[in-house]
Amino acid sequence: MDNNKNWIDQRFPLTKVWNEHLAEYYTPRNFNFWYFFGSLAMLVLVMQIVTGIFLTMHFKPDELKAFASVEYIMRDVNWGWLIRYLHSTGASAFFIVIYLHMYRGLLYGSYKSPRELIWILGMILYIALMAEAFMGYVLPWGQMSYWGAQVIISLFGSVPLIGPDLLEWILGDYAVGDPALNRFFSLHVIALPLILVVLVFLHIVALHTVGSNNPDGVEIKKNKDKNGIPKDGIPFHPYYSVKDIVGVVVFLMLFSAVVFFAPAMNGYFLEHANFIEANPLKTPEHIAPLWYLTPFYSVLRAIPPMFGSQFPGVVGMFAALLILLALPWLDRSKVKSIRYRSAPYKYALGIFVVSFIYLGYLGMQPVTPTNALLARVFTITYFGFFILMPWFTSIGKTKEVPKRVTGK
Amino acid sequence: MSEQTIDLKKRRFLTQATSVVGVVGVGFVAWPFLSTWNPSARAKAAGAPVEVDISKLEEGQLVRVLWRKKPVWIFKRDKTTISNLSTLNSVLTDPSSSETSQQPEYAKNLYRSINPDIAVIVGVCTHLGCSPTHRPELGAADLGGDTWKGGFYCPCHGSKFDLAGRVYAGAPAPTNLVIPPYHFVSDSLIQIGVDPKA
Amino acid sequence: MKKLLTTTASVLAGLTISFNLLAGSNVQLDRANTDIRDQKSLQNGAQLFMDYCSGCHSISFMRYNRIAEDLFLDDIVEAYKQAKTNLLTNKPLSATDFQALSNAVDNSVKNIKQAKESLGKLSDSQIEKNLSKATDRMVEKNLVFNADKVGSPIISSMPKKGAEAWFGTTPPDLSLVARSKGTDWIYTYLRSFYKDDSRPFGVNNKVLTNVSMPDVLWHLKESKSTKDFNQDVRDITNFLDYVGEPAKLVRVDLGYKVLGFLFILFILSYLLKKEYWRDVKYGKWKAKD
Repeated sequence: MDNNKNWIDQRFPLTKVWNEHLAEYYTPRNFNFWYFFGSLAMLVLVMQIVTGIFLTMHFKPDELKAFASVEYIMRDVNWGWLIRYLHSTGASAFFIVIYLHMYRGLLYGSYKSPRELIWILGMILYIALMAEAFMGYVLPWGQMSYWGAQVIISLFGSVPLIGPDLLEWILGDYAVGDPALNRFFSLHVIALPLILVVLVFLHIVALHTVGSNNPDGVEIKKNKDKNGIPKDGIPFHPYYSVKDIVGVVVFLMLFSAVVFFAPAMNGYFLEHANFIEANPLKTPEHIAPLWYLTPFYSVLRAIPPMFGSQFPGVVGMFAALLILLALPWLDRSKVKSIRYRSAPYKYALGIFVVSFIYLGYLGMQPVTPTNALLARVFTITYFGFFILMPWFTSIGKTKEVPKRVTGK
Repeated sequence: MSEQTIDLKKRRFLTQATSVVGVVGVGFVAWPFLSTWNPSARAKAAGAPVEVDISKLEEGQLVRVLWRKKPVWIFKRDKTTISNLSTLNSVLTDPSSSETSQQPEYAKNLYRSINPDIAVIVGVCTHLGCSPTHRPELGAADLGGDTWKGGFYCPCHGSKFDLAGRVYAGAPAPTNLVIPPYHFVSDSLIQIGVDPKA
Repeated sequence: MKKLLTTTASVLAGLTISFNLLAGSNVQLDRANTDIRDQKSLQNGAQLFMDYCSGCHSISFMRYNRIAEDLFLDDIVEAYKQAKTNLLTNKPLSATDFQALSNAVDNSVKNIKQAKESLGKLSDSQIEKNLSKATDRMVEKNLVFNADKVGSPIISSMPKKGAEAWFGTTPPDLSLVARSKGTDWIYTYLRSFYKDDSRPFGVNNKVLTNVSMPDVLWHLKESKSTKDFNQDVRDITNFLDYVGEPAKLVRVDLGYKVLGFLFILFILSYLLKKEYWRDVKYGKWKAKD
């Protein structure tokens, strides 16, 4: 055994990697509930890749066959229904996990120096994940796939000057059809997953360079004992590996409950209209993207056309996403964790969360005058959170941050 | 409390128990994934029994049908062919069809068929899966001259079979050609894929 | 924090309520209350669907033999097993036992002697084969009205052109109607036809106004009590729910097993975590200073 290990270690830094990233990777001892979601996101990524590989074996990316091939998977392929539900539920679970993971970052200031690059890599991951999910949703070629794709892609047509040409280039046709389906399939099964995996790797490399933040926002590396081990650190393995296993099992229980008892989640995870094959002649009465994209869809709809163009709305939607990248520099507070933040920040964060959730809710609703007004109000509060952040993070009285983690 | 209170036995037990249950779980999960590679309901439906009308089949004539995506030969043997079958024992690997997996019980006879004149054979070489060519002409020079009593020749690696699908000794193919399950629905109709009624 | 939670909760509550409102059409839908575990209901629904609906509507994602396996096999296997045990223990056999045996062993078994003989002849694998043949025959008898093979999908025999001439449109495929419209919708729709002489077939529908479909179930409605008729419609709805997702028959049961397994794993992994974290609480990784 030891001989084998030596043989490998002379050729590949196995023991070194194991120690540096697991057995001697020191992690704050005070992680709480919010710290499960990083490893859970990894789990869901792996699950999506594995189920995706098996779905690809049976799916046909052809506008005449795609819809039927999904039903073929659901009925004729042995256990195909389970693998499809794991994948479709996995998509929603991915976003639930990622949203909680990002919210953790907001709660404890995990994006603040020296972790700006972790945050930025994570945000690019998030945007890539949205593209991945959007293209995946086109593949079953139901009514929602088709019309959702039509609506979202036509946004590119609003780009000044090059819009119409850009639109045709993306579609390879004059409307959503076989070429779009085929290229989205390719991007969904290989290009974006590769990008996601590489980004996850970089995200973790960056994390392991600076080390994890924690609910107290205290840098554990500032307090080391005589052996150079942080006094508030414990090895990731076995302590957090066994803890994460518990988290994984609990997550799998909730996840299985959805997969086996409510895989369509009453239309939230698999929309009802998507069980009707795509029909270019008939738009469903009400089109909404899947829930995880709706906050940004709401922003799009909230911004009125200007100069006869929908483009400002599109800019607004992408701005709502991209502004998150600037977060590390907008936050001027001296403390990281919500535990020691000033009151104005706490209120602002509360308003932001409500705005985001409500925008998501409104994005699923038909446009009514009240809804449109509410969407505008929440769009303003959404952007307000970021624009006013340099101000409200520098006022108010913060609590004193302890020297060491509190173990709460 | 101190470090001495740590129960290493308990720790080892829990590690092992969790690992075992976890591995069993992974096994349970692997099963559906591997099962998706088995023939689907559509493949099974496409592999359903096929019926062949043999009322117009003449002596010496061979028709090919697809059953489960494999070529199946149906041909009518004349009297000479039938009598020749018993003369070939010395040149065949398994003249008495003792390899039971190569034919159903009811085709384990000299003709490897239900009726001596009607042959039903899966036309896939038992060597590496090519489909042999029908070479019925007696004494074909390239196939051994006078000793050749008609049969099948595999173009891929040169395996030879007689007109009952039995393999010639010395050929790369190890076993006789497969006889599929089949039965006579009527005198002129064969169903391939279903055994005769008991 | 507490305030935040209450706000979030009320937002989420609002979300669910408004979705339910949205899911309904303008007409208040009756609850279908179907039960996919009710095999008798599914069998009746399948029969009614084949009699009244399949002439015009395909369920092209469904295969005859799948329905056979899912809805009938259990009964036959059960009867057959019972008959076999009775026979081996020299208990008397009822007429249904003979029927099951005869179906399975593929000849007309009429008395104990015959039954014993025919059973004795068969190996277990042959019995299994015969059983599946027996099921195929049940399908042919109960469900197949044209010369389709049992493995083929259920396609209506109506020509497309004729349909357009007769109804002005092709009757939609109903494979996924329960998933796109919901069971309540089907249940209410089928019971909402009313007389309207301005329409080609003299009927209109409250749920789907000016629908091209005639009230095909009127005969059923006339000849039965409202309660029985509602049950029949419920059975058709139940069958269509099954057709929308055949896996539903096994999905829920499997779900309980998976959750049970995960619960065991949870207990073990939780104890393991607790055991290791003693190091952090009391042992060598206890907070220093």
